[in-house]
Amino acid sequence: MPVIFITDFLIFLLLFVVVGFYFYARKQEYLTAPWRDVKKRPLAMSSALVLFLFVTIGLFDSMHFHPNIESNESKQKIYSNEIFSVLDILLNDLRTKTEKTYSAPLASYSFSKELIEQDNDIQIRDYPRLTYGGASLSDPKNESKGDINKRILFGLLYGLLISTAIIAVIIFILSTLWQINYRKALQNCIENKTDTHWRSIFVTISIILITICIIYNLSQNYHVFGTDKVGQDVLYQALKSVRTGLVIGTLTTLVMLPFAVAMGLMAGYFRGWIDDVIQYLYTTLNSIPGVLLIAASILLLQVYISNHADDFNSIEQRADLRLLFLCVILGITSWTGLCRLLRAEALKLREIDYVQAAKAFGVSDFKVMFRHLLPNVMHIVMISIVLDFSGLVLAEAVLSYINIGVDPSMYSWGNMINSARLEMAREPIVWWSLAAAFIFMFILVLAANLFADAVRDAFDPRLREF
Amino acid sequence: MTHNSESLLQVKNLTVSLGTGSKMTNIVNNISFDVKRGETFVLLGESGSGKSITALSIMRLLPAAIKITAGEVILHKNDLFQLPENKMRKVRGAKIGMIFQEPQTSLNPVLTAGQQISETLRQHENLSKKQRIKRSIELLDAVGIPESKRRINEYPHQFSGGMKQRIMIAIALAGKPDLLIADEPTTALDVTIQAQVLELLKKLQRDTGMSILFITHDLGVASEMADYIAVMQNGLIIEAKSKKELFSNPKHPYTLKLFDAIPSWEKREKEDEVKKIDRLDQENLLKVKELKIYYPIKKGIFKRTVGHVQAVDDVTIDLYAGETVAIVGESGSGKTTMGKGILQLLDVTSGTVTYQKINLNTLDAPSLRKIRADIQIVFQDPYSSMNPRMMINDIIQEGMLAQGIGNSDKERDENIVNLLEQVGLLSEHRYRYPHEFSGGQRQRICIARALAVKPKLIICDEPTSALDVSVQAQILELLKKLQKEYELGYLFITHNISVVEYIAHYVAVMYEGKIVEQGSVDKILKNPENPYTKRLLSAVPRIELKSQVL
Repeated sequence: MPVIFITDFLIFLLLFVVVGFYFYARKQEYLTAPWRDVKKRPLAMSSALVLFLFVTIGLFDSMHFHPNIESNESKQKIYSNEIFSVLDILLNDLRTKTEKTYSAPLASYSFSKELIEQDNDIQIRDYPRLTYGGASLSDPKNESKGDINKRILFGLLYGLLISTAIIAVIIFILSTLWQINYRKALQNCIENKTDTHWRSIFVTISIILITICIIYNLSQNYHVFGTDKVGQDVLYQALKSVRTGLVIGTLTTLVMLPFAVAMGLMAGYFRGWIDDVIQYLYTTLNSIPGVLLIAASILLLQVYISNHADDFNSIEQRADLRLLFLCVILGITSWTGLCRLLRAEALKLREIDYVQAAKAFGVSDFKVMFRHLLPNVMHIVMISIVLDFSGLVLAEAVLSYINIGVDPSMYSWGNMINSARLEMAREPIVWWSLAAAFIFMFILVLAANLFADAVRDAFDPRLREF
Repeated sequence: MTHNSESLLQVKNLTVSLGTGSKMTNIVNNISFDVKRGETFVLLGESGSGKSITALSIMRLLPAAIKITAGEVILHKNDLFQLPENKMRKVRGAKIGMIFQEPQTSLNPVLTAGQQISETLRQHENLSKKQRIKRSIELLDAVGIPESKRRINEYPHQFSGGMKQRIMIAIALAGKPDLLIADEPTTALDVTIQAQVLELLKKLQRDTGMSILFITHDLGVASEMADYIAVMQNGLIIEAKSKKELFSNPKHPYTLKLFDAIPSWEKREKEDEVKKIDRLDQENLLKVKELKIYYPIKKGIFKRTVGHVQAVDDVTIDLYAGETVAIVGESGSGKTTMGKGILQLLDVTSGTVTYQKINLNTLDAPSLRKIRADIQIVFQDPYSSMNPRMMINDIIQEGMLAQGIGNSDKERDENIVNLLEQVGLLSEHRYRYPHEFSGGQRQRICIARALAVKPKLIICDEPTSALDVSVQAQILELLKKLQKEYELGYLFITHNISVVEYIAHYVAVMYEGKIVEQGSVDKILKNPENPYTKRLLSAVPRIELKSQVL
């Protein structure tokens, strides 16, 4: 039985909007030309592909349902109380293979010593074997290195095979599209004579697939990023956190965009008292410390939730509401920057001749704003969306670290880092939670930043002449 | 000034190219010329002809994407292209000085005039600080800046545009150069200021004996300054002669075209009998009475109004159907503000604007919207007057939709095709974007856009001043043709007297927000009474036409 969280709904709404915008933009020369330019940039294409991978993980994690419990006796289906996402099912192995407590990445033995009862009833204190890590080995101390190497090698091979196959299929499709023979298409891609930078796409696909294959191969027998305090696989946590990061990065933008665009354009275009009101509004908002505002709202929400506990069926729903609330609050505190930029641009544009000409025709104010101002500030909107995204992902981590971010029961990089606070104090230190969160966040934010750079260069009217 | 004297600067087979490999294009193509001592050599040409690039390559100051691919430049028997960069730095300033078109941006706003002159002095002359200050004051005196001792410590924003250009000249002269390159030095200035700067350059040349390489697009300025003229087109020198020869006997078809393009009385009389508009027979279109547009100056935290900028002050003017009323004045005289005030795009302080007996000031918004179809505007800058994100079709259609002209898409489409043909464009142009057109074509589209709502009066706000002379001629002809066809009234705002001679029936001269003199074009241009009008007319550089030279 499917369950739709509010954020799930909004994510798919956003996806719908983006797809809709794509079809709209295909007809607008001023929007397609810069995107064509983006497609020519190798770094942009690579980072877009990485982003695509993250988005896919996030989307799979946004389809939730109650699994049905097999019941042979009665024909009625019984649904479990638990809520799973499609990603949980795909990662079933990772989710269920839990150890007792900490274990290091790729370890076969536990991280801490325990009393072990031996066959002859003598208790010794030693590192016990893990339930799943290295389970197939009889003598992990000597075999594990060889086993790991073997798995990496096979992962590499599988990755190469699969990526070659996929690239071959893509080139086949391209050759039929371009109506040239297969060899010529391959040559065009390698020599980079194409509109889209296919060579960099192929290289990125290969790297991604090889990495996935190696990790998959290793995770069959090991915990690639180790396990946490309660023995849960850290890789699983990091993958589940992807959705949280994406939701914060995208939904916040969705919340703030209408405010920022409408207010910014109105303030700049109408001037006078409308401008004054909007300016006072955002200067006031801007002068309240953001963290304080967020902390206050989250506390308010917590009180609300605890007073209305009956309204929520599950912990997941409660956590989801808190996530949404965080997005809204972040949106409310962050629309001012874009609003200011747009106001300034609208101030400049309202005096420009084509706006004056439209006024001289008696075109209504709303139409002038929609037809003349909006398309001419679109590049600023586009640039700030992609630039803000990485900042917001990082903001989530910071806020969760000081406990006013997402719900502690929700997987997020911020929560992983927060729990790593104590782990770092242990001796020997447990570093892998932090490392995993760091690596995932780093890859996502770096990809987003590189992509944002390319988008900015392509859309910046000073660098590009229409 | 003696001719046949020795050459100061020799440019031989200079070729300058943009881009690399197969995409390389020559923007200056194998040109050669000599600049002799003490003479003014004018490079004349329209935009994109390669004149500024030629000057920059002599200075070796070309932007990175543009490269000198062949030729040599010889100054004092040294090939400048062979000099190492540190020697070349000594040539710039000391041997060759340069002044640019835009005095507003050529000076550093955070340094005083004195500091900027001293900087050049320090580079090229071994003087103590005291001597440098003394020399700077002398230079400011030489370029005619009054109270030079006090003004040496002032910042660029405290000087007017003409003063700034004088300071630029002082800086260029600080290293006592043998050659001064002046790249359109007066294009950004008003005619009266232009006349002063040109006079100053001539005086300095007499005093110091330097040569001037003068770059301009203006035939009038060229005729005022030149000893020798080279006409450039598309990177080539197509005709190079002494001024006398060129003006009495132009040979090349392009040069002839340039001469023909200049609007003037003679051209007007040649083309058709000047249609005398008898105002009594015509319908009065527009009556502006005692129009005032003041901007309040607000100060303090309570924004009290402490005074007013009187942008338009007590203007009274009439316009009849089928006639062109020219509003002439220099920058800042309030011409454009007046135009926008008539269109009700600005708030009017007092006075009335009456269009066909309807007072526009007191009209409610819906009625005003309806009447907007009758009064249209064409702007100066063809690059900013169309939304770059809209197709030509949508741009022209916008006014029709707003005014409810045309019943169906098909009817409007036919209308657009007609309009484009009328302004000399093709019907397929309607599916293109503005950036695909040249300046002149864009101005045609703007005229078509204005015509789309069938106006009776068009306010033309300097419609040709951003265009080259030859394009300007075409646009003016188009405007004349349309006027005849539709009995259009034009309120023609311009600073260019020769355009007025060509197109206007009635002239009003504006100065500091006031109309100082108005009357028929013959009266104002031939027998001006007001001292300002006289000054304005005498400042216009005149071409010594064939008849006068011969």
